[in-house]
Amino acid sequence: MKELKGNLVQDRDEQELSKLMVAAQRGDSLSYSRLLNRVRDILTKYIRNSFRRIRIHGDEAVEDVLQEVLLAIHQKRETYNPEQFFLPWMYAIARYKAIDYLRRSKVSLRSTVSLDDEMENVEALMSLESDNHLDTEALISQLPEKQKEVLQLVKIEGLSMEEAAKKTGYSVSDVKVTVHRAIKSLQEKVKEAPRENR
Amino acid sequence: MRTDDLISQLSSNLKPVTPWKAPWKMALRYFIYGLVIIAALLMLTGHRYDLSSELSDRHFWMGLIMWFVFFGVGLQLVFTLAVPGRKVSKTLTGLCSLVALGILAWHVHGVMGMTEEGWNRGADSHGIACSIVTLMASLISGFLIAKQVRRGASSRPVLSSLVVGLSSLAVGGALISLSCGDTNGAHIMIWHFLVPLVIVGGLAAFLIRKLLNW
Repeated sequence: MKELKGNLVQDRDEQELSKLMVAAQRGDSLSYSRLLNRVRDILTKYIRNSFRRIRIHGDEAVEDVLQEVLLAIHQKRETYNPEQFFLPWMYAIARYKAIDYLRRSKVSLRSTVSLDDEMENVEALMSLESDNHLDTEALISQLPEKQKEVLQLVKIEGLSMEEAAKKTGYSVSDVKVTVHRAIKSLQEKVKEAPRENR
Repeated sequence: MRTDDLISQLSSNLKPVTPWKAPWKMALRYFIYGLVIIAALLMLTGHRYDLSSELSDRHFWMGLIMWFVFFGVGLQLVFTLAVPGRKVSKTLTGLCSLVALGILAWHVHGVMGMTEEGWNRGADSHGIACSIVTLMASLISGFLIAKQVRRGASSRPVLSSLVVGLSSLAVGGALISLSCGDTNGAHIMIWHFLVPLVIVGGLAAFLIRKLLNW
């Protein structure tokens, strides 16, 4: 997580969204409108990727959750402290609302638990990608074979961890650990990579 | 409603808000409120008759300090949980659990080796007055803390409500230690601790959880 935070300091999205949110807290409507439009794109991708991984398809569900998240961001905007990062704050709201939506939609608890894991991974990957238009696929190719295989299935093919486990023959917990390790390795590679290569 | 319309609606009626302070600053503020509640109620109920002699008793100080530490650590945990994206450190949860166990051990230590007669005296229903005082302090502080936490966005409302309940119980626990002069271990265990714990815990489980959902 420390590596991820290190990346966030330099993240253009993070810097800009944080500034817009601070202005919005002061009552600047224009900044707030810009903020909500920017986060709408990030959140749509985030929710769609996460839902796809637990086999929930359809734009309607994504749109419903998106609107609930935007409303929650609005209602809870005073809890954002300008000294903290904006993106983890926003993703935490989105994750809570997505899981809440699935509970209300009577999706089984097992799915919502795995959604929590899946959303955490999507969040980490999206944070990496947003870091100055980083080419994560190029970085993935430098990972050890097992990590590369699992991450490619999860990230590029969009499989859930259960599906990736079935396809590779590894256990689900092994896939989870491998994904975590792969993301950590990627974060380290991002730190090492010279800025011009990003 | 279309998302574009929602965004226009939200941004057109925007009012300025004061951003939340860091969790430790919020915790400090509510810790001071807790001290004020204790002082105010202590003026109403009066302090225990043997307070001056108890001040030199290590067992008394240990109990009192543990209640205050639990109150402070609990508040820190509550306000950390209330901010989305804030990670709760294992040290904080570990410390909270450790002090809670310490409080339990302190009460158990008080009843160890008690005679049946001592138990009967301690269980006497007159002790309910102590539970009422403890609950009064707990409910006032619990109401104030829950009111603020409700404005936050805890992603773990069950844990949050439990910690709000227990933290406010600490205010009652500290107050009753300073106001009741009964040193019977069973009286302290039953009327200062178990009865308020069950009532506040029950309220926290059923009432505050609903209030903290968002």
